[in-house]
Amino acid sequence: MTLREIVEKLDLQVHAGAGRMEVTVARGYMSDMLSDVIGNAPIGGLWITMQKHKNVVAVAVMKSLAAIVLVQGRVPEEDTLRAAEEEEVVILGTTMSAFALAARLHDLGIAGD
Amino acid sequence: MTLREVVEELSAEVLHGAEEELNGTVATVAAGDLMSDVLTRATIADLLVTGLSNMQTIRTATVAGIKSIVIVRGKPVSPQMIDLAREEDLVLMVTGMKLFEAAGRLWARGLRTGETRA
Amino acid sequence: MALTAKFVKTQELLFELRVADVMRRDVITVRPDQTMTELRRILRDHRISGTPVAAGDELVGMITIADLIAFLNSDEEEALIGDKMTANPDSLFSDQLLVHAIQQFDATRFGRFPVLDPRSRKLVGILTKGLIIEGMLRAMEQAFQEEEIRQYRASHIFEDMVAEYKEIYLTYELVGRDFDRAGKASTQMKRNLKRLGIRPDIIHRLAVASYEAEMNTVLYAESGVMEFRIAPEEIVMRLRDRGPGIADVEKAKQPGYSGAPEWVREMGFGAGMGIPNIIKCADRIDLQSTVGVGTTLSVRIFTGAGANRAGDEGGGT
Repeated sequence: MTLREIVEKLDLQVHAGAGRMEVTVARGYMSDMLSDVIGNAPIGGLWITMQKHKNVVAVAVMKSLAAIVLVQGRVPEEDTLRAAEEEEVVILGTTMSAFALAARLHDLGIAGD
Repeated sequence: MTLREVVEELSAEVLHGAEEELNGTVATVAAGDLMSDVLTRATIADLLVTGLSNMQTIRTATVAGIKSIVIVRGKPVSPQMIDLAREEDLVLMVTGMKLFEAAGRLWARGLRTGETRA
Repeated sequence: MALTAKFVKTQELLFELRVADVMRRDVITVRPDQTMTELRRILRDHRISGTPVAAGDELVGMITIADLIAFLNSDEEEALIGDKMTANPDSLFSDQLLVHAIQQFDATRFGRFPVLDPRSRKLVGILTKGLIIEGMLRAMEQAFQEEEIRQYRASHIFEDMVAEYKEIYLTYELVGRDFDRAGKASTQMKRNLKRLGIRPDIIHRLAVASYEAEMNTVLYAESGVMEFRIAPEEIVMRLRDRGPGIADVEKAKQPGYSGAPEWVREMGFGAGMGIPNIIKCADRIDLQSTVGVGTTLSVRIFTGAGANRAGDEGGGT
């Protein structure tokens, strides 16, 4: 499934990387601990988190993540947005909880492992 | 669903929790690794699902009034954590599943999050 | 040891000790079918001024020296205890916390209470103010040097306890970077407030605010002292820490602002939600900080009849 389809189906906001919506996503990861994401998130996956500070961009680059999704209506900090544009990282957003978003993605067939 | 069904659904191992406590039902979930987020939820969840495995996990649940905890990713749980769970009368279990997978399965069984105040 | 420390210890004992720990178990009882003349002899022989009236091990009344005097001043030649006693007397349960027993002494002005087993409702002991003082002293001996107990005027303990009950202080010392114990003070405080019967939504708000504040101290400061004053109308938490302080207090109050290093975030904290969480839970807060010296945080939650229910004005959680 492409990012675009996911964004449409789940009514997600696009904070950064609107031009990179054709990427295909098969797996997801949910965590708020960066070291955990670095260690365990699937390469190319979708990352669900509460964390909105700049370091998330570096993690996304390191793991070649398809996108970061900020939950509970959290918006990226300014320098996070700047870094995302520079590093071509997609940042999405939703008012849903991480739990609900992970569950809906799971429903759409995005795998956990 | 009952806690026993949570144990089965997540193939979890119960580290503390008596038989009769596992008959208790859960309807709402707080899932995540940020304890401040768990603390600020408007409703008191029945179950905390988290990848954070330290003393703060147990204390956060105690302070937030959450009665049962699932630690994901098979993270090691220290004996001190189990002692504290006993002291605070919490059900504590661990699953090898990741947070994403656990959330998907619990949602499919009807569990939901309480609204957040943020 | 400072006097305040003793008060604190005394108060903690009130939460720890139960009626069963200090009551007298070998209770002298009389039967309702005994005469007042017999009562006079029993009170004199045992040098007591009142006693439970029991049929078997069932409590049926209390009779005191005041009842005896009233009888002696009457024209009656003889009477049965059963006719002169106070029937269905107030009683305590053996598993009640001492703090509740003291409250009952204070509210009723009675000198003694019969103690019942909570399940069988059978008479199992008696509690007097004197026994409470003795029990407190025994418990305190384990905590203090004998010398210090002598300095503390035992005769005033009861009055102190009654007075202090109206304003209870709980004090906890915090140690920076002690992550095994971080949060312990807040959870203990929460337990004590539950025992005091404070409204659950208020306890919840206080516990969340206290825990966030405690974590801030443990994460960033060298040490701190957290003090709770529980008064009838409000609960005030004050945390003073010695540490780096906060450079921009107003900024720290904004959601999402955090100077937390990565290792703090990995602890599940440091997402810039701590102080905003505290503000949400409090009715009033005051945050003062001096860089290089430390931070003082005061959190006030109103508990009187007009206090916010959780959910009002974005108050509770």
